[in-house]
Formats: sequence, C-alpha cells, structure tokens
Amino acid sequence: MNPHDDEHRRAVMRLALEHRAQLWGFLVGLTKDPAKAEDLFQNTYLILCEKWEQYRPGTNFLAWARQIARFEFLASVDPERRPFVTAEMDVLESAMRAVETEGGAPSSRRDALRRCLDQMPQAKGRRVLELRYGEGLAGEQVAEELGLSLNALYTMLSRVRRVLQDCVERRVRAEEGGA
Amino acid sequence: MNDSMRVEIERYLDGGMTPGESAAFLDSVRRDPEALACLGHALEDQAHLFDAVRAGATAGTRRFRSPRVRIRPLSRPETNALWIAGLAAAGLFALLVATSTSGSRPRTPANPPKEIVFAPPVPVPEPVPAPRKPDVTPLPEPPRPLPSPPKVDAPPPGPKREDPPPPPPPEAPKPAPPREPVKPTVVQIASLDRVTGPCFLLDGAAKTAAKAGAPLLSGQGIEAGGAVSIKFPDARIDLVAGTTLRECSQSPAGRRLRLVSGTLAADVAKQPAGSTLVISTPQADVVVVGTRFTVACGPDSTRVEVREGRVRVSRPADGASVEVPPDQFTVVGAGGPLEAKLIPIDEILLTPAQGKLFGADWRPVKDAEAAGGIALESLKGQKGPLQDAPCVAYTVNAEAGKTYFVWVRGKCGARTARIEHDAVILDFSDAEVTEPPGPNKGLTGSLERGLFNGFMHQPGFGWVGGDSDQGREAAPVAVKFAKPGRQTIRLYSWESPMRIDAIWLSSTQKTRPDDLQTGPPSSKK
Repeated sequence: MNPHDDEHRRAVMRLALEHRAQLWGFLVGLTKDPAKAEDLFQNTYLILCEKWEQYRPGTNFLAWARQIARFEFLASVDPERRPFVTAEMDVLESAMRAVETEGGAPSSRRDALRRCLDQMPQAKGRRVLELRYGEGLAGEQVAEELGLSLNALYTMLSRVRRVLQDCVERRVRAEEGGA
Repeated sequence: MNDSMRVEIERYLDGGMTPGESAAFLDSVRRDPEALACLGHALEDQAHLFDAVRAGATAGTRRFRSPRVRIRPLSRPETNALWIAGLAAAGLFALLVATSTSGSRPRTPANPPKEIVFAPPVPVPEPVPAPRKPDVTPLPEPPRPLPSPPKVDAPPPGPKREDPPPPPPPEAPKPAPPREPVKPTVVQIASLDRVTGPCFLLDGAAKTAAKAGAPLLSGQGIEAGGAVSIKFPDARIDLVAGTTLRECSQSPAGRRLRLVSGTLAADVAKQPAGSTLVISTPQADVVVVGTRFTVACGPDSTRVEVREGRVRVSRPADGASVEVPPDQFTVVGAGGPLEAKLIPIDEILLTPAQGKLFGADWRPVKDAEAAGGIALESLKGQKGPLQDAPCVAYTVNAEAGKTYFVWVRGKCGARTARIEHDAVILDFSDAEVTEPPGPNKGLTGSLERGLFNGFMHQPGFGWVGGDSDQGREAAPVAVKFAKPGRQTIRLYSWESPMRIDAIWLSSTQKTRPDDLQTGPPSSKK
C-alpha cells in the first residue's frame, strides 16, 4: 500500500473513533439496548475500517458511516419489522443531522459534558444518571430503585438532561470563543 | 419546546413506548425543529453519559445488561496442544490493527512493528531497554473507550456538509489541552497473575525474568516457557508453554496483543463501545467483542475457538472474514474458504454447581471426599412415576448423533443393606439411551432414561456406568442426542441415601474410570 492510501485508511479509522458517540447514539436510539448497540457499533466500525476506500475525504463522514450503521441495524431486525423501522431511522438520522451543523468537535462536547457532570451536585439527579447510565438499568428498574413512578423518573431525567445540555452549550461556546 | 416533549423523549429513549406511540412521537418530532435538535443531542449524549458515568463507577458496580463473562480456569495445555498443531492465525483484528497494509503482512518477530493503528499512539514511549524506572501508572479502571491521554487530534474539520472542501490535511497529531496531566509515562495495562516455569518479559531487545504479580507495561511482550496468566481489568489471557506474545499495547481505541506463536485462551468481558481488544497473529486478526475464546497460532495457520460470545476473524491477506459464534471454531490458513464449524464436544462434565434443584429430594452438602468438596445428597428415593418428581436438572451442549458413555460418581450413604440404597436414574430428554443387558434393564420405564445402580461396591465415592449390581465393570449406559446444542439431563433419586458429585458423558471413556478420578483429564486441577 502506498503511504497516501495508508494515511487515508488511518484517517477513516480516526474519524470513526472521533464520531463514535454519534454512531453509537444513533444505534442505541434505534435498539433501545446499549448492549445490542455496542455489538452493532462494533460491526459498523469493522466495516468502516474494511471499506475505508469508499470514503472520499472531505465529504460527510457521518452520513456515510450512518448509512453503514443503518444496514447493520436492519440486518439485525426481523424482516417483517423492517418496513416499520425505516421511518424511525429516517427521523433519528434527521435529528442527528440537525445537531451536526452546530459546529464544535465531538470531543469538545464530550469533554464539556464530563466537566458538567463533575460539577453536578450529589443529589437525586446524579443518582439517576448513575443508575441509568452507570449501571445500565432500564427506566423501570431505576424508578423502582428510587421509589418513583416511571413518569416521575422521565420528568427527572428530562430536567437533568436540560441542565446538562445548558451547561454543555455554555462551555462549548466559551471554549470556542476563547480558542 | 415544552416540557412534555422532553419527557416524551426520555420515554422514547427508554423504550417505554408502544409502536403506535413511537410512530406518533417521531412524527411530531419530525415536524418540530427544536424537538429534532433536542432528540439529536440526547442521542449523541447517550454515549458520552455512558462513558462518563461508568468511568466514575467501579467495575464491580457495573450491571450492564449484556452477560458478563466469568473468568474461568484455562483449559488444559493438553487440549491446547491439539490446537497448536494447526493454528496460529489469531488476530483478526484486521481492521484496526492492520499493520502497514492490508495486503501485505510480512511481520516477523524480528521486526515488531509498533503499529498502534488507531489514534496516534500517545502514551506509548519508545521501548527502553531493561532498566527503566518510569512512572508506572496503575492499572486503569475498566476500559473507557477514550481514556485519558487525549490524543484526539483535531480531525479534518471538513466533514459537515456534502460539498467538498479541500481534503483535510492529515496533520500531525495536535495535542489537545490536557485535562489530566499528560507526561511521558509508561502505562501498566495488566499484571502477571500466575507464572510457572521459565517465562520472560520482553521489552524491545531486552528480556527479563517474569514473576507473578509483576506489571505488564504497554509495549512489552511475554515469552512463556511455562504457563502465564495475564490479568487485565476486564479480561484474563492465559498463555500455554511455548507461547510468545511479542507486544501488548494500549491506545485510546483499545488494546492489541501480538501473538507470534503458541496458544492463548482469553476470557474477556464485553468491551465498551469504541474500544476493542485485538489479538493479531501473522495470519489473522481477532477482534474481541466480549467473549471466551482460544487462539492457537502455528507456522501456517491460526485456529480460533469461541466458547462464549462471538469473535470476528479475518484474513488480512485477502480480506476474507467470518464471524465465529459460541461453540464454534475456524482455522485460518493461507487460502481456502473461511468458515465457522461446531467445536466437537467429546467430554461433558456435570458438577453439583451446574444443577438446578427441583423439589426437595436433593440438596447440596459439603463432603470432603467429594470432588470440589460439594455433593448433591438425596435422603428420599422415588418409587413412583418420575414425570414430575423432584430432580436435579442440568443443561448442557452436546452433539447430535454422537454416542456418549455415561458415568456417575457417587457414594452410598447407607450402613446396612447397602444394595437397597444405592441407585439413581438419569433422564435424557430427546435422546436414545442404550442400557446394557442386566436384571434391571427397562426398570426406568422409558427409553430416555438409564439406571445407575451399584454404588454400594465401594465405601467412598466411585464411578458407576449403569446397572452394576452384578459387578463394577459392567458396560456403561450410552446416550445419543437427537438434536445438537442444548440438552436437558435430569437426575432422580431412586434408592437413598445417596450422594452424587459428578456426572460424566464421554465419547471416549468406555471403561470404568478410576474412583479417584473426578472427570475427564482436562478437568483435573
């Protein structure tokens, strides 16, 4: 392989890792199952690395990668269900495209989120996140653990997410302003 | 966007909607740009939240829905030796690791490429010969996909739109502002849990004696003259004697072990998204998702056997690949199709811990004479129909059509009239059971059952293969399962008191095993 190809391949792998959160988030939105999303992400990642030549540098990497992720997800779905999930995939893809144009490197958002989490007070909000994301419990299990109704849990999660999102956006804007 | 839409987003992400509700929800999101953006952020943040929150949690508290693979003792070298004869190919990892080119993999041990193909190799210093006293950072927490060394170089800022800006210059990795102290440290990626025989740590050209408890640093390798166990935070790799791992490295994208010869067995917890464990050999790359598997690397081929989870094996020479599911194997040589085949199952050993108790006839008891110190004890025998009688049920994998000879190891608990208190029955669902000729043949009332009678002959635990009242060396019961895969075997108490500590199905053991033996040779400790 000539050095240019080698660099191209490495660039694809780097991009795949860089955008892991978006790809994995897309898959977990479809599957509602983090473990299954991980499996699908692994497969997607492998294919991205195998088919690195298909990616044209400078074009929208995420669009290409999501296409592959879509195929992987569809392959995992019962054939009878496939027509029904296509519409869902389209909406999730639109949702992710809507935030791609906001700018900022994926790593900025990730770093900002971690800092915002660190600053979150040790209260029920943090506990909810630990159960939901740290231990991977489903909503029903988290609600049971905390003695909440499911709706109350969703309300709490939505508020926590809003607080985090505001914090993240402030940090990202501050970093970009300072950079 | 109102709060109720945000709550609905949470419900959607949790999978708490019916298909109809989901369709309606998505339709309303599609029409609302703000909701669309909110959902987009939520999807992206899912990954960040999992990573960030789990990074703060200890390994022990993770209750991921995917099954955690238990670390178990390595299968014995005798078994691995069979693989060594043919294998080598480990490595699959094709994608990631890839050495320089996908087509040419002329790697030789003399030229250990330090190719951390993923993100620029940040924490890996140049290999320093033996007397290195670095800042050895302790074992990291269970892997987070993008651990601290933030070698996240700025990607080509291009890819946001379809229009083609100038191709992103693959600039040299630009160090991001350090969130944590970034200094040239040597990262400890594992430790040596057990070392037997002459084993060495390889560090470039240097070689030092390996001892149990020693750290394994990124970039180091192991030459196992004896057996070595390597303990990672989320995995255990066992090397058999004669195995050489040229290099074990860690990068933000995961870990890579370069196996140049010999055999290793791996027991790996499920890898987090974006992080991989790769075992590469001269012929193949093995990408680990979270599995229990073995890789044996020989001069011309590599054999990969998967016991749990799944592994993708590829042959970089031509890009062929195959996914190997549990209880299957593949052999990667220079050519030919890559396919996964069922691992032959010749020996099945059932222990008390594997049995599920139904009813009150059986209970586990401590018994110093029993294998593993535990036996199943029955104080009451069944004399009526066994259909719904209390029993111990075992679930095992077995091949269809293969003849297994059945041996039960037990102890008669009676002091007098022992001949009347020493029998159990095994029921094999969906199988053809052949009982040897004898006075009690057919007593069980079913062609799927076998009587194991005659434990009175020895004072302690001993093996019985069928109706052995007439003599201990009677031919054993044989069973042939109708379908491959999962089988159910039930143990019933017929005459009590009895204690059972092992049930052994073997395609090779046609004569009664020695009473001191507790199972097939590979199960010996």
